[in-house]
Amino acid sequence: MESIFTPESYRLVMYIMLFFALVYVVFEVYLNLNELEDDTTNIILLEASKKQFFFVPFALGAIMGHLFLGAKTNILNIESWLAVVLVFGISLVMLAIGFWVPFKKSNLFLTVLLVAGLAYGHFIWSQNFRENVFCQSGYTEQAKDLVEPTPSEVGVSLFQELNGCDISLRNRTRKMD
Amino acid sequence: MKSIRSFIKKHLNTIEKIRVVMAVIFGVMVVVDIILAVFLKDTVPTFSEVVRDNRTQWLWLNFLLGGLIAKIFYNRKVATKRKELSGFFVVVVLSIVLAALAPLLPELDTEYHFLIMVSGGLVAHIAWPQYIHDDDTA
Repeated sequence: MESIFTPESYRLVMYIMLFFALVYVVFEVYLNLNELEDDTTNIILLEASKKQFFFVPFALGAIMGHLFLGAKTNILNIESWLAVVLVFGISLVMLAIGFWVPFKKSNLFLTVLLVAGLAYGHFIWSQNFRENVFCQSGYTEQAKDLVEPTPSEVGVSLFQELNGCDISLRNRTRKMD
Repeated sequence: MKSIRSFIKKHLNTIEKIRVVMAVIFGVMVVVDIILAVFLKDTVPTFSEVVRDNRTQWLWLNFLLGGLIAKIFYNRKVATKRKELSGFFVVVVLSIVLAALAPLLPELDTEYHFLIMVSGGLVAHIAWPQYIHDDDTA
């Protein structure tokens, strides 16, 4: 799929991502070298997950599923913004439960949350839905909704140019009728 | 082996500071991503879009994150720091190899990305154990 962003903008965001990764690595190295033992971030994250912050495996799983997996069919038909809000919402609810309802979090429980997060990222918070809608040849209900606002031939060709995809002639003729 | 829990209780203030720093790093990342998504959405891609539009080039990150998650939740505990350090270098070298190979690869399907993620976790579990300070052996 062709992108609407320039290579420079991609590079800028990549540098920002690498900057955060570097900050994290430097912090982790510092924690490894300081006078205290067993204070690295992964130990602290595991301990936190076993206490109030048991949303951590769910959130990490969701981010991984969102970034690197992603179903092509939007089975629940959830908008992307709603999927983001839901991740925050579910995490906040888990955090509130963690603070108000103390219970033992076994490794199995954390694994279930991690897998649930991955499933969420894959099926609900997928980044592949749009490609599916714009680029697949099938004429889905979603595609119909998205093609609907295209007002003219100019709009259609601009749309095609931006997305590098071919909108079916059937849709265009239907609009022009 | 000394309990991590008792260690954390003993050094609660320092641990709290570390937690705050981690939360700040993560919080700033979220804020930057929100700014990119809301205010600069037509000019600059978000973190997710950068990965989505060139997912195969980010195989190394997938592998590394899979490894880090396994290190958090499925770690093996060892009492010598050397084993953890050598494991760290194994994961780093494999990540560099993946980053170098990625431009030569065609666009991979989701199944392969899942496989890379799980491989990262397995490698971390097998080769990158978690060092736990033990007073008896130190």
